[in-house]
Amino acid sequence: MNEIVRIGNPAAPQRVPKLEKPFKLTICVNQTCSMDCKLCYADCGSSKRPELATEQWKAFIDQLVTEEFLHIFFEGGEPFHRPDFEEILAYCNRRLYVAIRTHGTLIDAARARRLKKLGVGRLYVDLFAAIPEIQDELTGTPGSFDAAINGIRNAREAGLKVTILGILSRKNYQHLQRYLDLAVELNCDQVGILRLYPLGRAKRNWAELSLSLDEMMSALHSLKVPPGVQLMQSWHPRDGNCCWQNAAVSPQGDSIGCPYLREYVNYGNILETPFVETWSHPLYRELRSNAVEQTCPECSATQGTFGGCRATAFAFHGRWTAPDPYCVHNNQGVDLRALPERLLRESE
Amino acid sequence: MLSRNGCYAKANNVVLRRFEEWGRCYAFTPDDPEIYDLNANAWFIVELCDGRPFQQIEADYVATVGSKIGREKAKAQFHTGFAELLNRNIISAIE
Repeated sequence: MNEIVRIGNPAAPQRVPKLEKPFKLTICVNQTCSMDCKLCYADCGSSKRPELATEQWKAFIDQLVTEEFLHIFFEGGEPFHRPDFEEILAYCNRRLYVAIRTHGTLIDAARARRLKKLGVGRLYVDLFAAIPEIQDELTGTPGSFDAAINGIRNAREAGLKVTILGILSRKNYQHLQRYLDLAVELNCDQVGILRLYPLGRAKRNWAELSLSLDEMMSALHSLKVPPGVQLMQSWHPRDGNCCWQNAAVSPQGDSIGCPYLREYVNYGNILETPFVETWSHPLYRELRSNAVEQTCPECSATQGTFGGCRATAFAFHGRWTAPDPYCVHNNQGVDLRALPERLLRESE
Repeated sequence: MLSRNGCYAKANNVVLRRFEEWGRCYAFTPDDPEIYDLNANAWFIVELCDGRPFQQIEADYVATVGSKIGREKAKAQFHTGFAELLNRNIISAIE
């Protein structure tokens, strides 16, 4: 909930609130992209199932408004690779807060101005590395770093808020400070350093990309956050279990809870079942119930939430109730550089 | 700009999502796209802003909250919250 500003002094929730229905939802609007990224969680181009059509997304957006959703987070693939994406954004018509995760390479000055006019709240721009040659290698696309930087500049010039995202990997951990320097240079107020998830192509390239937990913590602790820049990161003591409020829909319309659960769950398809009914799926309810074997008191104290990320817990342990191995107190000796055989077999 | 003689209401287009079970409310401001997390006090002020004059809104707030925390403290809390809400365009003066 990084967009939320508190007024007054509400007490931090001591327990995870129970929601009858969520207020925020991620739409993974497509599974296509103009690049060929080694970290692509969506494994763009791999699905044979059709993506939802423009009118189907519009009908879904109407449903969300009726159900009092407040916030849509769009991601892909690369959302701007979808020709009708701006039409879908326009349909949101300021009825919902809209944020977009993008590689930024397709945002020219005219598009940036249109997005501002459409009322887009924030862009989250992925840079797999903050050094041009490494970014271009990771995206398989020469010039992609410069194009992304131009996209960020265009967005900022149009008055859009931009968060620079970096997925922490062996390719960027030695130059992580460069992300914060870039934020200052580009006048961005937020940087998000995210954990690497064993999904899609990132799973297949895990040996090349992954770090040990010690390497991750060392890289994070070395950061010096400049004034005016907010650093978001989700490692201890901020290992949140956000399943209590998470909702997401795949490009094909499957209700998947969270984009990071996309390979593990399917609570029903929104073309057949209203989304709010999928919210009552037994597994969905279980993941919101705080039923975890072990929690980190420090993370719970700051997050008001329990057990850390369920997607990584399940990926490494194969149990929904398992501890989150990315937390220093809950790691239990798991070597994050080695994926369980089970996951590797599933991706063959 | 706060006017003690003005009347106030929730700003046009602002969307509220109420969570009574945990005593807070989210407000979406489309004109300057943000989502704000209103605590119970801020939420109460927004609900009181139904087009009435400032002084009536203040009096209702102080009468309700003052019985729990004292009138002076309630009044100060009201003024801080009201100014914040006005500043963020969640409430606005009406004709």
